Amino acid sequence: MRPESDDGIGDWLRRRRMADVPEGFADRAMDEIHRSGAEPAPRPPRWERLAEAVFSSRLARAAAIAAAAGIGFARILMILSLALA
Amino acid sequence: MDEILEIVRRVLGGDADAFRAIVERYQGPIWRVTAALVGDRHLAEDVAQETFLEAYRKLRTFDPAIGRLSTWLFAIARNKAIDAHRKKRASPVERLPDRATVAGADADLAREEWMEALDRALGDLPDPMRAAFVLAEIEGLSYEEIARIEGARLGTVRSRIHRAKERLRAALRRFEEGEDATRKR
Repeated sequence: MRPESDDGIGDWLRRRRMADVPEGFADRAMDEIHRSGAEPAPRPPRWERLAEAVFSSRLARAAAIAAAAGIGFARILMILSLALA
Repeated sequence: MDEILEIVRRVLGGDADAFRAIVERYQGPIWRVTAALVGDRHLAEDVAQETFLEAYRKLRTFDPAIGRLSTWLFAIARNKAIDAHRKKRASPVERLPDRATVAGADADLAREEWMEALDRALGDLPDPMRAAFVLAEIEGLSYEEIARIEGARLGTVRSRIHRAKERLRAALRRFEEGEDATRKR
């Protein structure tokens, strides 16, 4: 039985949008933080952040893979040339 | 925003209790997103708690120049909820209804079944499609903000949300056809 709604999923969406946070959630979340003994981690050094930013890009990853493949291929050629010499 | 940055500064300065203001401000949106993404109230509470714990631990990596704190929190919640949902799919547990149904009230019962059919259909969507749909349609985030959270292009986000709606409507049609068939028997 479909409830009266605009496009069929409207009522369901409205209910989802109104979902209440369980009572006492903030207290439990703060207890968990205190219990874990966690501290905000120190900011990583600048070079580490830069390296992470560089290597998180798809282009940089593709270049690194291509370079690694190129080095591998060069090694094979070198071994083959030594073996055939 | 300035008020939030002041709270972040206080937490980073060693005032752990100041973090409560962040939890209280964002618990609603984070809870709604995790609940919709994992489809289970108990698991959603765990995921929402883990989200705030991780946010607390990694607070120093939050960069207001890149985006809002809410966007950063949604990204953590989204990843945690998707991981939890994958684990749940690998070892399924019985679904818990969001609300108790009123025994004997046929209309209410049918309505609950209809709602649960949509919950199941949402849970069956591929992760990126489900996340984009939930962030847009339940939390009302802009497509630009969702693209930042998802690390996807704007067009991709738009297409994911469109396909999610199509799939949900198709699931509804299948559910109604099945329901009609049951009634005719």
